[in-house]
Amino acid sequence: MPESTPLILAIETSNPSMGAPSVALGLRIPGGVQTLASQTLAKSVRHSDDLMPAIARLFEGEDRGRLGRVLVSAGPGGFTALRVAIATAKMLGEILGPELVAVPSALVVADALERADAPTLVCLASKGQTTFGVRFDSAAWTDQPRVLGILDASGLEGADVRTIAGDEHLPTAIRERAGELGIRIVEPTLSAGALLRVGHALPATDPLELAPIYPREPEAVRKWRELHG
Amino acid sequence: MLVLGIETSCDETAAAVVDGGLSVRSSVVASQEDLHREYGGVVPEIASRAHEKAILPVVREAITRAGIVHADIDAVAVGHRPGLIGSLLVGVSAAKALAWSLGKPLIGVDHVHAHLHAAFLGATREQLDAAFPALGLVVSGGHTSMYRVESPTGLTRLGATIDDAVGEAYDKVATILGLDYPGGPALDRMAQEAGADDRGHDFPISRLGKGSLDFSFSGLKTAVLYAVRGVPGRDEPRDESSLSDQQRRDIAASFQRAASEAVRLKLGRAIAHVPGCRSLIVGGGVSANSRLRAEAGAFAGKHGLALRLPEMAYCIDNAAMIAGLGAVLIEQGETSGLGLSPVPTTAC
Repeated sequence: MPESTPLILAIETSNPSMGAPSVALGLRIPGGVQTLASQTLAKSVRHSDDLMPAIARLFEGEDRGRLGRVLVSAGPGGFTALRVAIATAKMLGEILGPELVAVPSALVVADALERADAPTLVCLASKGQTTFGVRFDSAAWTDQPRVLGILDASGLEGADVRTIAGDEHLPTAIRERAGELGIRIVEPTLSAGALLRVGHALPATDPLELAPIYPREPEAVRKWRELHG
Repeated sequence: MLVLGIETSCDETAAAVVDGGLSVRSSVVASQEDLHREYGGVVPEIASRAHEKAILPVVREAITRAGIVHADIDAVAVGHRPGLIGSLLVGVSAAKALAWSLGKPLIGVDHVHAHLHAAFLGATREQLDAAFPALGLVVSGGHTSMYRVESPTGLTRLGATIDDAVGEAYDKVATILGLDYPGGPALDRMAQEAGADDRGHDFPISRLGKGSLDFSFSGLKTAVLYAVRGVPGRDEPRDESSLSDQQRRDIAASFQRAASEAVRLKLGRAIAHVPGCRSLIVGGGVSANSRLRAEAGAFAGKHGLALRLPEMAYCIDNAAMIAGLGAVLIEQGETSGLGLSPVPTTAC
């Protein structure tokens, strides 16, 4: 591979409950992408401290000027981890000039799912009695996922899915309703390698528009509105 | 040495370029005041979201206004403590990526210490070198503390607030008086209005025992609350709407006098702990307060000290003070690694 071939950096820190946060370096090859190296970050809340050191380790022996694309898993997920990843990507883009790509995390989850199990509801950012759902069907798969947004157990009625990809935080009521409807629950996984595969060919995002996907308003605001109307 | 500074500790997203630690080439501050006004205080998650959105345009503008290109930057400094952890993380993450991408050193700076350096922005190197030993005072919404300052980078804390910071007391009293958020500047303006009587109320001035160098403003704040709403169990409950404009002015002026006198009292005690003291250095958001600036001037004059007060633009949170102190630290050989962590508390 010529040394001038642009490198692709993938940053997946969106949902530590679906796999340890990780970064990967790859490059495009005919028909896909090749992973050159990857680094796993600490799964603790301090993984943010390790993001930039891990990226630096990935580039040991490489020219950082070869960075041509940065893919960021944009959530929904942990707000802080998403902001750390996106702030990092923005500054890499500003100085080194790579394209930036915001990749919805549901697409990254879908990469590891069995298409034969579709239609599948990928559930992210579960909180209280609700989750953020994205529906994938076998025909369109990742080309045309349907964002259902925030839903509770009653939202399963019209979702028309065979499987749910939901982590340990998936609300109990949704798990129980899924059981009643005969919907199987599978474990979702995320990795920087999957992000490379899913995002390497997606269109670039304007750096000023690059932002985490926030499914809900801040909790403090919600409580404030409850108190003050 | 051109240092790019970044500051995101609370509710201002800021970036600046400073030359040689003292000369400000640019200073850009994106305030989130309007976002938090509805809630009467800073909402941490809103602050973090706003920092993430603002960080790129603010950094771009600071570099453009400085008239430099990326390659001219010699180092990146970031306020990494103290502050809201989610807010700090945005600035620290951005600074790490900038430093690594540029191949230049990174330095983490204590925000409270940087408020003292703000008083030297625009000064000469000779003025900086001649200022020490000094008595330092940081007065802001989050901090009220005094220091023996041995050098631009060496300081020892002499005392600090045991409850509210003075700026916090200003904001709370402003709320009690029904003034708009953020209330400190509005309260200062009201206290200066014609006819305001700063002896209208004899509010308490905390001493905390003979020789104590610590501060307390909660008693003063409570005294204002009782003056406005009545003493529970003694007076008929009332609210600020029952006050006349003159009564408001008197309360504002009397509060401001008591707060300033408390600070002056503690400065008077602290100066004995700074042998050979040459200067009084004041920093932090409340250093913009007219009464406190006047009190500091009078104190410095009385004790034969040079007075170092920040320009108004550098009283509030800003990145010029971060870049400035960062440059001085780097000149001394200090740098931080890419593993730099944000820390919610100050080291000062």
